[in-house]
Order: sequence, then C-alpha cells, then structure tokens
Amino acid sequence: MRNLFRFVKIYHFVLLFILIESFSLFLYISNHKFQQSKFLSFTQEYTGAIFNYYSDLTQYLSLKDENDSLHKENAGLHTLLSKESENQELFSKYIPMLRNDLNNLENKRKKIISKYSEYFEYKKQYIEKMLEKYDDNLKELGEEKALEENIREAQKIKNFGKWLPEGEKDLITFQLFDYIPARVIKNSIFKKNNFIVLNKGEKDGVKSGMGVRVDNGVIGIVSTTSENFSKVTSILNQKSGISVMHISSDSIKQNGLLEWNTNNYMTATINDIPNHANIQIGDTIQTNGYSSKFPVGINIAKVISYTKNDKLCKINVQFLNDMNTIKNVYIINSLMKEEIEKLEKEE
Amino acid sequence: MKHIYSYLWLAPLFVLLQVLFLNNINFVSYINPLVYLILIITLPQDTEKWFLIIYAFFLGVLLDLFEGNIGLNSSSLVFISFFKPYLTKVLIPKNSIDEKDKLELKKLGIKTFSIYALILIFIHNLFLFLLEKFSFSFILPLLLEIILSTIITFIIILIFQLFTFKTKE
Repeated sequence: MRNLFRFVKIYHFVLLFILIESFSLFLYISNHKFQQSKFLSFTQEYTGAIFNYYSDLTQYLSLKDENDSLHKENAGLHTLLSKESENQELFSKYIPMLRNDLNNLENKRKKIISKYSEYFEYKKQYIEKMLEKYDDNLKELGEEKALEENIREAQKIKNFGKWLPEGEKDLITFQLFDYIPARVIKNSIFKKNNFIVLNKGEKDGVKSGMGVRVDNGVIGIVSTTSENFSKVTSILNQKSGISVMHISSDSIKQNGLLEWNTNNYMTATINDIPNHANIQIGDTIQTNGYSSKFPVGINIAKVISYTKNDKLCKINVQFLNDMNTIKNVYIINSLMKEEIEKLEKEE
Repeated sequence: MKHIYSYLWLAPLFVLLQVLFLNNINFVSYINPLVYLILIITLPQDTEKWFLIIYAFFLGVLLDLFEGNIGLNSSSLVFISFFKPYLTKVLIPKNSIDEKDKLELKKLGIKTFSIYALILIFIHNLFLFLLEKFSFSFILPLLLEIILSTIITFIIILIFQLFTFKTKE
C-alpha cells in the first residue's frame, strides 16, 4: 500500500495527464448524441446569451446588405401577392364546387345511415323469422335437426359485406408549413462539423428536428434547443444529409442525398443519382420534400461537374447561398411532420 | 503564486477574445490565430504540474462550450501542457532565468522564446487539426493548414508580447 502511494506521488503528473486526456478524448469521440446534447443544452443558455449580445452589437455593420436582401425578398413577396389575387378568381370558382362536394358527402352520409338502419331492420325481422321457424322445426323434427336447419339458413346471409357502400376516395392531401424567423448569432464554416446558433428557442416553439432555410437554400436541421436559443447542425457537417432531387433539362426528376464532405464551404456532393440520368452542368438541385422537414422545391444548388461510373453518378454541386453571409433565416415548423413520422414508424 | 491568480481571470478573457473576435478573422481565407495559447506558453516554470494540467483542461472546456465540440480543445491543451515542463527543461538553460518568472519574450530573448513557442504551438495545432479534420484525402492541405496556422498564431503572440514588453519598460 505504501508503495502504491509512493508510486502515485512520483508519477502523479503522468497519471493525471493520462486520466484527464483520456477523459476529454472520450468526451470528444463518444460525444455525438447524448452527452453533447445534455451538456450543451445546459450551457447553451449562457454561451448563447453572450453570442446574442455580441451579434446585437455587430449586426449594425451589415445593415446595408441586410436591407438589400430584405428588399429583394419583399419584391418576391409582392409578385407572389399579385399572383395570389389572380388565384383569388380561381378560388371564387372553386368554392361553389367545394360546397357541392360537401353537400354530396352529406347526402352520402345520410344514405349510408339509412342503409344501415335498413340492414338492422332486415336483420331483426330475419331473427324473428328464424325464431319462429325454430319453434316450428322443434315441434316437427326434434331439437337436433332444428338446430342444423337454422345454421344452414344463417350461413346464407353470413356475407353482409354487400351491405357496406362502395368506398370512394375523397381524400384531400395537403402539407402545411409554419415559418419562425430567427437570426444567426454564431456560425462557422471551416470546421469538419460546423454548427450554427440561432436566437430562437423552445419559448418560440422551436423543437429539435426542425429544418432551417433561407430564401435560396437550406441551412440545416435543429439539433438541440434551450429556452431561448437553438443549435443547428449545419448543412456543412459530415453528419448531415439532405434529401434532394436533380432536375434535368427535360424536367425529369431523380432523387438523391446531398452530403458535404469536401473542404470547401461552397460545394457539396450527391452520390446516388442513377447513371442514366441526363445531367448537364448548370442543372438545378431542389429539395424533394421526402424528409417532411423541408417543403418541396427549394432551389439549393447548381451542378458544376459530374463523373459517371457503371451504376451511379457522382455530382459536385455549388450552393446558391453563401453560408458565410447568412444572417436572417427561417425555422420550418412542419405541421404534418409528426403524423408522417408516426406513420413511417409503423410496420 | 501571485502570477497564478492573474492567470485565473485571464482565462475567460482570452476565451471571449478568441470566440468573439479572432474566430471571425480569417487569415489566408480560413486560418484563425489561436491566441489563448499564450496563457499556457507563459506560465512560469515553478507552476505546480497538477495545476498546469487542470488549468489547461478548464481553459479547453471553456473554449469547447463556445465552439460546440466538447473535448476537442481540452484534449489538445492538456496534451501540450504535458509536454511543456519537459520542453522548458530542454530548451531553457539552467539559471538563465528565475523559476518564478513568466516565460516571456523579454526574459527568454527572441531566439529561445521563438523556438520554444513555435514547438509548443506546432504540437498543439498538429493534435487539434488531426483530431478535428483528419481524412486521408486531405492530408497535404491539412499539413499546410497546420503550418500556416502555427506561423500566424506565433506572429500574433509575438505582437502581444511586444505590447507587454513596452508597457513594463
């Protein structure tokens, strides 16, 4: 025991080094899910507040650019609004049609109810008839034979499926998105796993798993949230993959997964586009809405080069949006996401 | 011991300087100077070794909390703080300076200080960058990045040292 103490006393420096070094390496390597998210969401509130304060100070420097981009976005919204008024006319035609459909559905419902009551009436009469018959049979044939006779009769109307009305597909599918505006208060682009901090958190309805976008691009997916801030796994992260589609010049869509494993913050790669796709330099890449985190059809990137092998085609793309200059972003709250994900989990 | 108290409150100051200002300055398009290394470099020779390691660990943890990768900076800072005592024993001639003195430019002289600081910064950057960005396909750009970052960090630290040099003369 004394020897052990002496050993520890002499080599305390090396032992302490090995202990602390392996502890911090363990934290780094095994980080990714649990420890990181628990630990970071605890401290994020404080670090976030500091970044927020700093970004409040520095945002004045980029006011002009911000103003320009807002102006541009405003113009886009105005054109959308004018289109909307055109749509209004279409809608005014459409509303009576919808009313008509609603009436039809109501009629159908009434019909179904009346049909069911008809069916129950019929069944009641039938059972009464059967009971009478059974009594008659009981007198004539005896107990055993009477039962047999009745079972034979009952099997004739076993198939009451014919009473159910034929179903028509009256499904209206839609997917709705809510947008929460947020400001970037911390951003990095030169690391291997980059992340972003936004100034909106649980208080504003941000949850982990929500997508984040700007006008012409995808920023990432929210990973952890605290009360006032949220941390976003940037698209410039080895762990993030965005489901996208390539649109060829003859508007044929091929789905793929956009991944970032280059060292350049403006380019990314798509590896799983089939070989037969007609790819040309300058084609656009859009989100395909498969993940239900992003709406369909956000333009993300342009093709800059591609190589084909015997099965798949590897495409290098360039982002339309400069990740270095993002300031104002939108967090996407997909209202249908929970329902879709619940469905996906079921076997 | 008097110095050590000043190091305690200098740590959060340097961390804030790093994450708020220096991480936004990119030399040669993507290189950040890592000025907080000055704290580890200048710690006096007679600092308790356990204090050195624990100080490096907490400095690293503070940085990690802001940069979002728990364990990355702390492990690389602990790594160099392990080498520091051996390095100073080899590089700094005995009795040339008082053991209580900070290992600064004006005490060590430009030649010893540069060799000492460059080696320590290089080991740190090698460890940090390999841990963070290692991939076989980018090994050459990565080495270039490590060397450039070492040089730029060294220059900024030298400028810091010159300032303290002037004020105390």
